[in-house]
Amino acid sequence: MEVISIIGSTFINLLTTDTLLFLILGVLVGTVIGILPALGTTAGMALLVPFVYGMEPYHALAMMTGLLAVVSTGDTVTSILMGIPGAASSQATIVDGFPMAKKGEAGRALSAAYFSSMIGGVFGAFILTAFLLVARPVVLAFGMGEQLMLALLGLSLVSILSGNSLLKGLIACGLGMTFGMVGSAPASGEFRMQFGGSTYLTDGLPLGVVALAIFAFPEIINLLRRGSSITEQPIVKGGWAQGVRDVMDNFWLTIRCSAIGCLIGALPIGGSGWLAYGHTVQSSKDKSQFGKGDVRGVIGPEAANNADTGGSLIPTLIFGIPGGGSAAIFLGGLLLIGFTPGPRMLAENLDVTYTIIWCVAIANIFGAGICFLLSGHIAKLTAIPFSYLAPFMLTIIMFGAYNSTRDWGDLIALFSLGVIAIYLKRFGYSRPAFLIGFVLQNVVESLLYRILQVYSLESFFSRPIIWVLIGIVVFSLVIGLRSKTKVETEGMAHEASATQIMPQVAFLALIMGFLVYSVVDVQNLVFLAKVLPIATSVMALTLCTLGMVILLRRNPQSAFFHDGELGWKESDEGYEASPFHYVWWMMGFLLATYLVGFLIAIALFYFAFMRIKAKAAWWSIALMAGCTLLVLSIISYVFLVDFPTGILQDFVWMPWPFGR
Amino acid sequence: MHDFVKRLTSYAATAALLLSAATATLAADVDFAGKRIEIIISSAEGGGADTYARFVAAALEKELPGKPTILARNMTGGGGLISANWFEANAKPDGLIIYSAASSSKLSPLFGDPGNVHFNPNAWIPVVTSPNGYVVEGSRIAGSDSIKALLAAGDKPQTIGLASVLGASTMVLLAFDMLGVNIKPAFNVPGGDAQLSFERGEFTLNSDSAGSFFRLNGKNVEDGKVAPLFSFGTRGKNGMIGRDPSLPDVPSFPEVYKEVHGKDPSGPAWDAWVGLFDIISTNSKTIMLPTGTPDDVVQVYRAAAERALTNPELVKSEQYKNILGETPQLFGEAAKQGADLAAKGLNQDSVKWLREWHKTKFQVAI
Repeated sequence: MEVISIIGSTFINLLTTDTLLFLILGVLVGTVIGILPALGTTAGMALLVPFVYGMEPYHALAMMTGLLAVVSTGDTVTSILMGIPGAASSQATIVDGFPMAKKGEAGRALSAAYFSSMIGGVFGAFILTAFLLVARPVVLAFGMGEQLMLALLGLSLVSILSGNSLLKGLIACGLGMTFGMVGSAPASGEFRMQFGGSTYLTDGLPLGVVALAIFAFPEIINLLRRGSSITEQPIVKGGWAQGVRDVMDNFWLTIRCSAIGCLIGALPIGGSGWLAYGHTVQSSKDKSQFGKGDVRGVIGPEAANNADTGGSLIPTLIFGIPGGGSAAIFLGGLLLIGFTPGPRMLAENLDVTYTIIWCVAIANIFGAGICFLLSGHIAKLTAIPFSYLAPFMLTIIMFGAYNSTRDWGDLIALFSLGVIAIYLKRFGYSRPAFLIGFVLQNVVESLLYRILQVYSLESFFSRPIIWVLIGIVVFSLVIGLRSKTKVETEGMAHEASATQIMPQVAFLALIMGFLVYSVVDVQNLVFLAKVLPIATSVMALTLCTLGMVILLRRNPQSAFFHDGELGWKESDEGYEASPFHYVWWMMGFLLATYLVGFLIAIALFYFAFMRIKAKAAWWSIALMAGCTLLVLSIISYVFLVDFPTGILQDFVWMPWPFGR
Repeated sequence: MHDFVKRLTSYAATAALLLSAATATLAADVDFAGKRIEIIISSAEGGGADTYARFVAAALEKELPGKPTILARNMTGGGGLISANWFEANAKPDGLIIYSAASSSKLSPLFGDPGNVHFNPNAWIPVVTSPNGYVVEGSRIAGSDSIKALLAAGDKPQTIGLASVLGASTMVLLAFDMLGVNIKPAFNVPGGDAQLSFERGEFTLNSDSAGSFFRLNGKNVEDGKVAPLFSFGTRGKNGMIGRDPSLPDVPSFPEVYKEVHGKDPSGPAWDAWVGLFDIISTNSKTIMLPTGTPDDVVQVYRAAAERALTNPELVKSEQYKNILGETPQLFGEAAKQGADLAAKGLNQDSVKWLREWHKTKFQVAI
């Protein structure tokens, strides 16, 4: 009873004091940071910390919680409108959100996303409230084995995300896993696949860079080639009301995905958006529109990723252990303002704990509300002619990638993986499968290694929840494999596929070459550091060999044949340039950055691109380039980001922000 | 603009230095009014090292002359190498870029690939050093809550999740090995994961820094679920490693060793352990000025840090207890002496011994 009165009194305290104002302030900052591409919770918290220090602790608490709760609401914007993942949490939203934007339904997608985010966030807070005091045994019940099974459940989604060819989906997943193994091995800290050994790859490829390269890079190239606006059809009016109706029509789906988000958020696995997406597809009767712009594909992941924030606070508040990257920053912030989350606070300062939870709930409502009001206006961005939008989007992905570790390597990795992604898309290798493999590889390997150190076979299989989860994994696989309609994310192939196979054969041979390299590279490592890489690569190589046989037999009926680029000139996508035309443009941009530094290269790119491609007036180019540079300079000043300098800066001293 | 101002200051600082050298009696006025000082942090936002640096920066800001703004710049990667290399290459001796050095910056020149280490941590100038205590604990559900129980378990290995291969992890393993406890580690387990697995009984042992021990396991100890086995200890005024003042009831490792073996620890294993101790525990975190920083800037920084971190109101606060703990901070000359201990502590023989021991014992190289 005492608990209930605390729950009530903290709520009233929050609403009736000026703490609410600080909460709203946090929400505003969080929303803006979320909407701004490439900036996430980390940047937001870094911005707040100097201010919260020395503030009244409850005000600071409300401000930080408000920010934490809404960042994943705001970052949906670029995912849906431009196919650029704003943060790890909104990757799965792209699969259906971006096609909706292309169909002119951006408004509907955004409003569905915000509304389901809000429900997810409030649900997360509700679960926290209801179960906080009894959640301890639940978190403790999910040990290493149970977590491994959940990660495998994530991997099983490859079966539904593979499009027409399961074989290609599996190869893509194996390739993603192999890229995930770059960096130090969990079992020994030995470095794997360093490609000649720079310090950049010792920590592995950053997820942010990989997601941008895999999703955004090929899409931007394709949009450029089409040369029109993002929408291929006129913008649908009144989308926002439809979006709300969509969520209401799928209310239970929203709740189920929120529950998934909450559970995964509480465990150190990640990928709640993908699991929710998989659940959404599996539980839907009509699967034909997924990957082409089904609103349910937006609702599921968005509900999950806001519930994830609430879920990740469960271990933070109960054990004092952050459930993820943004919760870790939140925890650091709490320590700085003098709170000590953990078992003792839970036992002795329940009002602090419930204030945090209420802040999460209220912030989600405000955050979604603000985004909701903006969504109609933001959606109009999709109608801007692409040659105007392109330099801006390119700046975003370059800056986004560079912001991952602020190393030249980020840009090189973005570009190299981006080119690979163009071919994955062209030949119908599922990019979501690649990303799921990349994300979960590290989780699977670390857990397997720990299990080997701790469990015996007998003790492992004597845990009942493991059996339940094995059942779910098998069930998910069976549904995925038996389902006739698969989520096709890579577009349609062209007729000539079966007769002109050389490009496909060459690409597959390159994949095989890379896999062989990965096996050779890990040869000299200790057993536990090389066993999983070798097993994965050998399996993927076997699948590749099978694919190669199919290709060389030239059986035109096989789903393995897929080439989206043959005859691109006649294709109904309306391409005006060859696939590589704009890759050279981007290459030029990189080269310019190398020579004159990032900011000057951006200005040059704006002038060259918009003059040649958009035939824009000089003054309008100058205005756009100027605004972009101004925004970047402000970001550079506030967040202490130094942009890459070029050779020029080595010889000529330049004032900030052009030089250092 | 930013850079321009920095340049001007460095010219001004140089001029001032020349002037003070010339007149000898006239001390140069170090003033940071309107300046932006950067503190470089070698780990990501949110972890213990990050929180420490931000906490010290916020306190320092108010005490430095001219009340500058101190901004945090997190540079992750390469196990701290990237930030240390960057600091060495970019920080001018003007006090406008400072470094929150973790113990890894002292370990990597000893153990790392020399091709990647482009700095000398022993030439940096310490402003304040924050020693950090470490605790090792066992649990009731795993039956590992006393040293006696561990020794009685014989060949049945104890398990523990360790955050890294090289670091405090190495000291934990070496300590157990010296005590004769059979231990099977899982490396590269993040602290939070290790703690939860420990509470589940998956790992039978766990290690914590003293600060997180109170936060994460304080209540568990009260409830009888968890028992601290030993601390690494702290160097006392006499230079001996004694009990950690924040854990007066917990025996230090040398004490436990004596209890088990009947004599004080000695030999190459102990030399290596103490060498690591001075790097990892005594010099856990240090706020550094770059090599060659003029003395007046150093003195201003040292005085400011001492005023900032001895402010009685701050010392009483919850933040201070959580982030800096109860181990005394080393200011000025004490920081220098601490740094000297770390610089001398681990000789080449010990490094070689540690490498071989780790490889044979755990099949993993450090």
